[in-house]
Amino acid sequence: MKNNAFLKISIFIILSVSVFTYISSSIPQISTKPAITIADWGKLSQGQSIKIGKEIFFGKGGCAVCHSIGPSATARCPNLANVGENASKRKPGMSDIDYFIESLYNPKAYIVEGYPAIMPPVFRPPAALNENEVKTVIAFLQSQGGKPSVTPSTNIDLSKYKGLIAQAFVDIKGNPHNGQDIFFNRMLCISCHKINGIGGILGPELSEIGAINTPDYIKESIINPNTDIVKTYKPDIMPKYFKENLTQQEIDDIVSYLITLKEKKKE
Amino acid sequence: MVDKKVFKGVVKGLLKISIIFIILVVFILLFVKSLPETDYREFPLLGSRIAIWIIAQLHLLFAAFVLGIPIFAVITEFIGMRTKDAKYDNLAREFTKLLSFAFTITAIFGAILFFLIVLLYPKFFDYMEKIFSPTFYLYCALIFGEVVYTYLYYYSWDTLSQKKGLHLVIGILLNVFGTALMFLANSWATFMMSPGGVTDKGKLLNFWSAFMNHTWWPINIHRVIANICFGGFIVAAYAAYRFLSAKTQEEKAHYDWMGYTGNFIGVSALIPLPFAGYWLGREIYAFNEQMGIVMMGGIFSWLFIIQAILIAVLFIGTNYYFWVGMNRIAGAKRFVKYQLSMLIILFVCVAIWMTPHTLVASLAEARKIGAAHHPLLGVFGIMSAKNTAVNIIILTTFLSFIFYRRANKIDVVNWAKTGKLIQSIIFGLVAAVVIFFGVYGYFVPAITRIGFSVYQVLAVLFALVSVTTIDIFLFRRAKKTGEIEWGKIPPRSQYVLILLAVTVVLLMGLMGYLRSGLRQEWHIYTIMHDTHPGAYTPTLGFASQIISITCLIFFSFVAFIFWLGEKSKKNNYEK
Repeated sequence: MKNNAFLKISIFIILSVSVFTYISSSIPQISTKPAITIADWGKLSQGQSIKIGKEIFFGKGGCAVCHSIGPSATARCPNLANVGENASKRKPGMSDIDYFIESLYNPKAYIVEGYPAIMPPVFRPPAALNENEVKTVIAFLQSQGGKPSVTPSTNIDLSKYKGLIAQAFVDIKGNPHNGQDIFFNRMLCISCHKINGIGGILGPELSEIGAINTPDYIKESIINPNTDIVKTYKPDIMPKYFKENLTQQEIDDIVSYLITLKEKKKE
Repeated sequence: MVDKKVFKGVVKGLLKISIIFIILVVFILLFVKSLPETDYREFPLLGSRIAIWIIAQLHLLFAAFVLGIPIFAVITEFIGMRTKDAKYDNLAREFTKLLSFAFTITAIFGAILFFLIVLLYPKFFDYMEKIFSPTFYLYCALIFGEVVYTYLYYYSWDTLSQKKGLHLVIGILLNVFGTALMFLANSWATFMMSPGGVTDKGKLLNFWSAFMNHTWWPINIHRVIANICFGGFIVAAYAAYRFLSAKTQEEKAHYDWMGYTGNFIGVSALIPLPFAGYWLGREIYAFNEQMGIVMMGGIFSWLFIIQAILIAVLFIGTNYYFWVGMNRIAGAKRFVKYQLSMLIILFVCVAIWMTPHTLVASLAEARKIGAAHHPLLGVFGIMSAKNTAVNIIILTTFLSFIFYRRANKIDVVNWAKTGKLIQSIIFGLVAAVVIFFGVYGYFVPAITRIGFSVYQVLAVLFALVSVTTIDIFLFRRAKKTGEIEWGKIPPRSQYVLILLAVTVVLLMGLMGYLRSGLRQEWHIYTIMHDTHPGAYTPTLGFASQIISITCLIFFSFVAFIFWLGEKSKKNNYEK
């Protein structure tokens, strides 16, 4: 009887588990793969660029989580079926490439009416696309009703989007008001750095830091002050205790405040 | 003077764990350190991912076993002490005995897992070591602490039989060590999912922010409750096996009672689990909106349908067990007439809960229900209907329990009519509150709606506490229509108990796949990329195969542990 019960229970468990496997295998099966590794991006043809861009769109980039290509009842962001044709008409004076770059690097710069502003900039995690990957995505998007012209070898000057990158950083990470408070009142950074005529002179002036440096550079300078010393200033002057005394969020807040400083106000 | 038997038992435990540690260190020093440096190494045939997946899952299941059973044991020992019913004390002891075997298996799987991570993912391990190395040493110390208290708890059962309070304190300390161990390991797992305290490039800024990262507390709470639930259902499954293989009526009666007790503790923990899970989901959203969208509206949205099916099995199974169990209680027939309506309510709620739908609203729905007011919470708010269904399922299960509880009792207090009326009003009102907020949720902005789930939960908790309290006083010194005829429950009820245990294990595997899969191609989300050529997020079908295989291996080991326990019990009798 005992062994009989053991056998019956074993069969029952195997059957229960099989039903679970069967049901789980019967529903829509979705898997994702990261973008394939490309040895030489510069050699990709137009067709290959579109193909890779498509893979990133539906895979690593995570674009298809919200966007659809063609009508969809569940898409949360615009249908991109004819985006190749529409991109050059979205904003007057802006080419399709410029529009794509802006939409990918700073999605909140232009929100198609009626859609929520939920897209994160693609250069930041979780998508974390590099410049070449972004270009292939643009090629894929151009191929949706437009004339593809971009490949990774296409020369796109991203320096003019530096501000956009900085702006996107503010949108995601930090609270500039809190950062300003920490800078002036809590950590007394102002006692060494001058901003618009106020502050000390032991460290570099920061009135235009947002226009001349990236968020990552500023952040690194707070965490490891000696990483890059501005000419005419001495190393080991700035304390190294900020990383211990501030939370990651507070550092982000300071960075988000500093990158808003783009222009020196007249004294 | 320390009892010799207790001392020998503790030394035995320490020796076992020390040997496992020594073997692990020797393997790492001799084998791993001699290999050339690389980011990844391949596990033969299975591949690294599947090897780690299966071993990690088995380790976690056994860890849940050695964490859940002591909680169960301390609760039942406490009940035994209070009620002076030796049955509870024996039950606690019977399961504590299994702990030593289970602990050894857990430690072996843990050591294999550690070895495989160091061997197969050296770059990842190096990074984790840089961030968390102090906790690794603490973890080792806590393992030894847990071993001491596990063996002390078991071997001092006779010695401290007259000092039950002290024995319970040892049991509680065992749980404190076990829970601390779990909290430590949770910090590593949750850091991989929601890293904090480091820069974008992974440099450590603040250890405590890394340790107590965004999802640490929600996972801690969720796992503590889930372990109690797991422990209860495993005990019930064991009892079911013993019931089905029992030769005498006396044995049947004992294991019927044990199954009921295990199931009762399992269900008690199951009831708050959806609330804890909901909190965890919200925190994932708050940490990273993209991760939240991938979870609820991306590639994992279908997983929640499977989750709903499994949870439905748990709740419907539990209710069915109560209903079948009432057949062995004289006087219970008067409650049978309600069962059909309750079954219909359960099925309707389950149908709502498992309706295939991407849980993040579509654009059209989002516009209708006002998500434009708050895009983050708005899309989450579509759960209005599903939250309502879960709360009604919980209320119905509670009602089943109340019927079961009063099955053989007739009230004698003179305020019985008023008491029952108040209970009915509470039930009715709470159900109305839950449904009202569920429906009203569709007519208010998302930011308002998201708060409604809190009112629903509070209303249900109020019903659970107030109705139970009234019931205790209502049926004090109640007239009995007959005793519960333990052992006379139909065998099919025991298969329900086994199904509940299998379902819990599958559910744990499924949610483990979700938690790890959410990171997609990241070892540590947004900090360290998984650059292994085989890095991908597998389909649910494939994952279910791995989960099923792991589940079967786990139950094979559990059967082995039970067999060992039974064998040593026989040996003791022979001695």
